[in-house]
Amino acid sequence: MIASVTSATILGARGYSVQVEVHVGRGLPGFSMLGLPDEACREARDRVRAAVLSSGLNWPDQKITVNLAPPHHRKTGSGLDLPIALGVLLATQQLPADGVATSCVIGELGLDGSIRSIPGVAPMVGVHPQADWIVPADGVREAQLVTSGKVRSTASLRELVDALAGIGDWGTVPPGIQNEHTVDLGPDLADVRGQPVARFALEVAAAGGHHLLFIGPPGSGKTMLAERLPYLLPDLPHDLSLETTMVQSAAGVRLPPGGLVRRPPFRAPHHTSTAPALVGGGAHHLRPGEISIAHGGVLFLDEMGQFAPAVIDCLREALETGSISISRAQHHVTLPARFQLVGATNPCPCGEGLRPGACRCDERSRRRYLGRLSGPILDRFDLRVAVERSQVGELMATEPSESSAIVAKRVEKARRLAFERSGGTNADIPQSEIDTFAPLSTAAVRRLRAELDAGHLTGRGLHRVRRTSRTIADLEATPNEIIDERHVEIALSLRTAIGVERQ
Amino acid sequence: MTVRAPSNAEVAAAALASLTAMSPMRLRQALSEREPEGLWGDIEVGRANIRRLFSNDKFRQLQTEAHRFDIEATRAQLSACSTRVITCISDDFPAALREDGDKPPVLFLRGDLSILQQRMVAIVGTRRATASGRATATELGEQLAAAGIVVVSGLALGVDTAAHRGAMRCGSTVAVVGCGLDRCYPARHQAVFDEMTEQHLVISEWPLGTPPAPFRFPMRNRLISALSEIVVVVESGDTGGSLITAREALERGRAVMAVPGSPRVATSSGTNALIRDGATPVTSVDDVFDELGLGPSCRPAPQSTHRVKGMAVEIVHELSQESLTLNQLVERMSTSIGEVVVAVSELLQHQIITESNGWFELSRSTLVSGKECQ
Repeated sequence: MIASVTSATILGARGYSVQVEVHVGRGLPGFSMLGLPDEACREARDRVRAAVLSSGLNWPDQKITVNLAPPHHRKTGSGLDLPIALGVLLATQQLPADGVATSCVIGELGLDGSIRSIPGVAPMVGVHPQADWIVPADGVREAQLVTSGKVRSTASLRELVDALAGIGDWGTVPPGIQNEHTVDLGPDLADVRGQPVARFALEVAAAGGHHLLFIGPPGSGKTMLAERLPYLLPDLPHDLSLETTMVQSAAGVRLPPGGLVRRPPFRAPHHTSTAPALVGGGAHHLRPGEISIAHGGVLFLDEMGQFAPAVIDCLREALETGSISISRAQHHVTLPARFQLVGATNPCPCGEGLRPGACRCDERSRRRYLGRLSGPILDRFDLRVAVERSQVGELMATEPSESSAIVAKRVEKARRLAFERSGGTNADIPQSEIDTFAPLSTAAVRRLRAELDAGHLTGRGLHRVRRTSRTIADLEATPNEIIDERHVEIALSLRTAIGVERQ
Repeated sequence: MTVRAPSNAEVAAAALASLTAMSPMRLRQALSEREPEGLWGDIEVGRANIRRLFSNDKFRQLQTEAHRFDIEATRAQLSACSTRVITCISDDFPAALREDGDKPPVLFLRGDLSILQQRMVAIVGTRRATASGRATATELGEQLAAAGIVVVSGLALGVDTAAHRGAMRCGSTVAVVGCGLDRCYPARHQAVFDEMTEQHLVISEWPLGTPPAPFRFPMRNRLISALSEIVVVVESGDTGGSLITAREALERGRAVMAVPGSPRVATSSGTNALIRDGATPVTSVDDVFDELGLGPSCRPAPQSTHRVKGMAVEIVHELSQESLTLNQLVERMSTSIGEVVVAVSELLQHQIITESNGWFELSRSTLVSGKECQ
């Protein structure tokens, strides 16, 4: 009296196949589970028993042994409830053996026998992309994205047993809104009054994928501006969209109705976030962190100076490689983390701003404040823009500013140019190919040399300015292949040196 | 500065100053009678001129110390740091210090010694200066230096370094430090220190290798006030080194001036108290010039001869009203960012305007010329 059900569990953002073997035999009545179940998984025992009984089925008064194979890696979460229940029912012949043989199963059970949704359906289903799957109703859409087999679901264990026995119906999946493009109604750039330079920096960041830092006093609109960035970005390409869906599903983020994440995500973790919350981790299943959830989209760090410096430093690997490796004693996972970083910070603790003479802070506390994000991280921002509070006239202006839709059109055009040229965004142009993709005019070379000679620009900074200049040239109405002095000039002006005494 | 081997007299003076058993007072007295090289020999043979300044025990201690002293190491060190050594009887010794009762017997110097022959004004203040305090110090430093006055300060954080920076842009400056000249304290100011030892002057009364210690800073402050004709305190709390400098200055009959501030600001309480007690308030650099007895003809002339045209004219006009960000400039010009940026960059290159933390201001020389035009 042995049964085996194929299921899956999750580690990081990837699914792993798990074979749930159930043996029901003679011995003292009891239930034991092998194969490194974690706390949530071990509790399946009581949930499964209650669910089976509430569904009007029999629970055997025999020795039940559940083995989760392969036994060496840790099984997490409650998604194994349903396969264990089906295993018990199969082993006690309450279900026909052929019903489950061809399907893989995941799902959590309620005590009343209802089947509940679980995070990470897409990556788990992805481990057997040709198989038929039985998943919770909420996960049908995302499961369909990754498997070519049949995806079925019912609302409760009782209905599932009936459907498998051929005496009940499968639950109906609401008609496909899957391919419909959901129009994204987010905050519009038209709401931002004034701030022409900050708006332009936002446009450049969107067009070139450059990291962007806003520096300014409270109330200057840093957050307002940053929140509008994702709505300037075009839809995700299909493969990136799928990757993002996988990660978000694994992290338990609510997916859009179509199941597929098509729009670039926007994540804004609070400054009290811990390092594992930001880069991923946690006890057993290594949940993806905010930087992975923001994969393909925007990670916005408001009050960047308030984050713990160690947490900020964790971002460096991801900014460099577009992925993050998390190692624990037992596991090692690599999570995707290609995001666009947008930071916002006050220039100093008093928040009075950078206007000469306005700040009331002494030198030491200013230095300490900005010192938290100085160095390697500050250097990675291609665009650093000082924003100030808008003046009264601008706030009360009645003519609306340019809307996101218009800016997004220009952004899309510039991104297409960049993609045709280098196969990626301008921020990703490799250093070795910068001369090919971003050629400079003689005047532009002279201008950059002057900056280098004056010590205002480092080697790394030079390449960053060249990439930004490329984007600025691409954004023009009649894009120019050769970067002109004017483009370099604008790129330099969008890279304010903050806290550095340029004297 | 060319590398120059230290003379035997310099090495001997440095060695004498390094002996712990030798107090500054005794060394001053001994040096007034005999030159350093001879004095060094006198210690070894125990001649009466030096012997009589000490008790028997103390002199034995001095001899032992002198005997063990590695004079060649001192020579190498002086040479490596290109440090000059002058004694209080040498001709190079600053005239302002010569009559001072508490003059250092030996001075160590790095940089351009000719600066010592010029008129000096000290600009001092708290290390925990506000941005506006530092801006004031920089401005005063610039304007004094441009008029040919040497700015003296202590290379400390805050006001001191701001004053040095301002002076370095337009003229000469002297730093008096409280440790050996082979090190920069605070270490953060290495860049300023390097520039000062190359083009300006750094002075210490302590031998090379002396670490900074709290008691050395008040002594350093005494030197700052002794060297200068006027001590200007830019910002100071109720207690602090700059008030020591002011007190030392008063004891020496030097003028003390202070920059007034709001009574609500902690960093102005010291300067306001000085003004209450009789110090002259500094409301602009002209007050310092008046105190020095300098007429308007000494004031710096406008430097820029660049002719501005087109949009640059409008930008200069806007900036003459108030300092602005690029954002505000673009709004006021109501044109594309590109055009404004190009015009601004040209103005920056000709030093007609300056940028700090994203804010643009008219530079000092332009302001001065603007005033004179009116």
